[in-house]
Amino acid sequence: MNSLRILTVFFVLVLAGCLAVKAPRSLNDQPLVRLATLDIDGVFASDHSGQRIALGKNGLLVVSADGQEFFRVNEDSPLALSWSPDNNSLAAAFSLGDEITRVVVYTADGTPRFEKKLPVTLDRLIWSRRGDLLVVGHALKIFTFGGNLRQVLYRFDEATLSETLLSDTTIKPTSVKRFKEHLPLLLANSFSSSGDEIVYFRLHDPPEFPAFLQMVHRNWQIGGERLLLRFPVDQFGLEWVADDTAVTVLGRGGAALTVPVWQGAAEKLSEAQPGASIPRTARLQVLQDGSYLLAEGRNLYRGAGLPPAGSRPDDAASWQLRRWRFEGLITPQEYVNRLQVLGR
Amino acid sequence: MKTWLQILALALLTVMPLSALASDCVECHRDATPGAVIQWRASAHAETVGCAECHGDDHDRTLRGEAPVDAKVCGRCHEEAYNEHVASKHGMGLHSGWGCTRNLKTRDPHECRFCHEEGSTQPKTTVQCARFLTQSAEMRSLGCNRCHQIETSCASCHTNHLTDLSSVRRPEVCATCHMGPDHPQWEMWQTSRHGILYATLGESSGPTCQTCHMANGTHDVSVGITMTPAMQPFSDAVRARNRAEMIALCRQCHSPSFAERELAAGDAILAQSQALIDEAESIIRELADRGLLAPSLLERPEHPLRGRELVIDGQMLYEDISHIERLFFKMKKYDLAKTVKGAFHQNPAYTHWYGNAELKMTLADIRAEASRLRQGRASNVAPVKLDRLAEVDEALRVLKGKHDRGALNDDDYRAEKQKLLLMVPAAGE
Repeated sequence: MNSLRILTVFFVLVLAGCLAVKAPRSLNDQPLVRLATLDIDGVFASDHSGQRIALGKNGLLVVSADGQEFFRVNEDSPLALSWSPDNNSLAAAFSLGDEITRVVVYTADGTPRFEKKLPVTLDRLIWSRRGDLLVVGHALKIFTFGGNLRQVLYRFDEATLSETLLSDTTIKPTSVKRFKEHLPLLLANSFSSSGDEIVYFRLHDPPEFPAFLQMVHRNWQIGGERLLLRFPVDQFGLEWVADDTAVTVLGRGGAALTVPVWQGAAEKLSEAQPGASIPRTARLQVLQDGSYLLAEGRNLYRGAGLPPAGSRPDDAASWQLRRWRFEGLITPQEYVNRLQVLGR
Repeated sequence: MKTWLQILALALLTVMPLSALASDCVECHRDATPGAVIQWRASAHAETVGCAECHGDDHDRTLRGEAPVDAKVCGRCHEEAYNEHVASKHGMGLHSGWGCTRNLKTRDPHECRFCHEEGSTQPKTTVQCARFLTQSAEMRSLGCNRCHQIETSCASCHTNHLTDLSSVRRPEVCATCHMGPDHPQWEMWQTSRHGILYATLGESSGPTCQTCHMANGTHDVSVGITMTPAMQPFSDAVRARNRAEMIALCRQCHSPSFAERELAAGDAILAQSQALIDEAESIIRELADRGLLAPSLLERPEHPLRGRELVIDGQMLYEDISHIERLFFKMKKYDLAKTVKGAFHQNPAYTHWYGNAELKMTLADIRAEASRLRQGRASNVAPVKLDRLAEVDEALRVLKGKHDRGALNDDDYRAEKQKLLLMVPAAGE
């Protein structure tokens, strides 16, 4: 799902007015076709060919593109769904309660291939463009002195699991009370289109000082992190812009801030953009052929006629170049130059 | 008389609950852990300190190993000793994370993160010792922690339930850890003039470890030491202060001029020996820059703290390295320590034959091995064929290493990188 997200925030911002109404209007002059009914806040994910849609409705279903055929994969409703880049695997995450998330990878016909229980509350589930299944979650343990908050990135390479600790921090007792119920909204994250880079918020709650959010950038191919900016504790949306050079931060009030990932902090702060209102209930997935899925409330619709998302090549050299860039072996400019020479 | 009765009554009230608690434990533990009970009963603690005072009263936690009696517990009563210990070389792990203390030179004690994980009120728990991280759980337990637990455990020297100080005032108590090839202080003291006098005439004539390093019963074993655990000199101001402290101790038996001369000779030997290490280090860095180490940095497992970097400092590993690095490890970890510590512990055989001679002979081996490597005759093993990206990756790291060390200027660094990046294959190549 993430790998096809090239319209990202721009589209969401421009089309926000259309989505704000109860009965959704098409994003262009082509009509919307209602496909299915979802669970309340149910999730959905189309495969990359647009032929199958996995969705949560009294369980996990896979529906044909026209909504006429379907089969049930699981009796439990999923928290998140994502198809692998080759469309051969469907990943689903289910809540087992009490900060336990069950991740199951199915074959395209709904046969479970493997599953794993993770000791976190789910924040994100996606496939990287080269086929790593990525899961981000958080866990809060409460003690008398406060809470221990951890954010973890899990990466499945086939069934092999590796973990990257994104944060591990102590928060004050007052902060535990204030933020406990809102953590999934506070700890936003977003993966780049290739999936190897992540920008996320982590809570920083030093003794004697007010808590704040740190915006952190990582490339999970290697260790290390880059601190990008500091924000007050609030609910923000995070989305990489289409060329993966910046991240858009969306505030609750509609304000948006574009943060270039590879520039200095002063430049970042000067680039605040005019805001736009984002409807919180609408969900959108744009597909390679320009069709799109739009969910509003419990209804899932299909539309068409948007600019095709297309697909960018993403080979081993690109991954290696980004790794070198993150490690400081090449500069961001050398990365861009080399990609241009290679015709990426 | 009335006052004395009041004091007695108060004392009884204070002691009785403790005794009651202790007797509850003893009822089972005289069978379950008889040695511990016997030692405790014979100790000074038996009078005033019951089991729960140190172990807590949650038996399940204790059984699960979650209620260790660490130095903080002892520090509740033995505050002065605890504070001295924490500030000393023995206690530095309390600040820097349980485990290796060699990271201290890269940390500023005034930073919050010296003690805490960033953003956390909890003390650091992450061990940042490459050699520790590379070992199995069993080796960590028996080979690393048995000595390094001193950072958080008074029982390292004092034993769990004994309080008889006559044991810990003897030099033998130090021998468990301060012996062996990397820092044989026990052996070199034992066969030094100081150790011989102790063995033949007793403590009044021969100074022990405690005489010089824990003078007057202090738990600050750093008194008089002029080098960090990584054998780097302290700042001039700290060195001058510490040296004055040591000479004051020497003066109990020696003239100040004699003590100053001896210690200055030790300083000179340290500088001379360090120069040999520096030469060996530059040889190995040059070989790494030229990609002549086998296994290469790419072919060996990543260093647990620094990834693909060539690590030949205090975090150097002794496994999965080339032969020439293995020689360097011996030279730096064993031979240098024997030479320098031998000099400061007045042991001529360690200073010269076990130390200095080995240092110089190993350097000769390193020079010869480097020569063979440069001629491409180092290994009969066919080099692993690396793909082009891996080759460029390794070359970029070598270049960055050179640039960061100042061996390559900015312009040349940029130009060399451009040449390498031209080798990055396009899709499908």
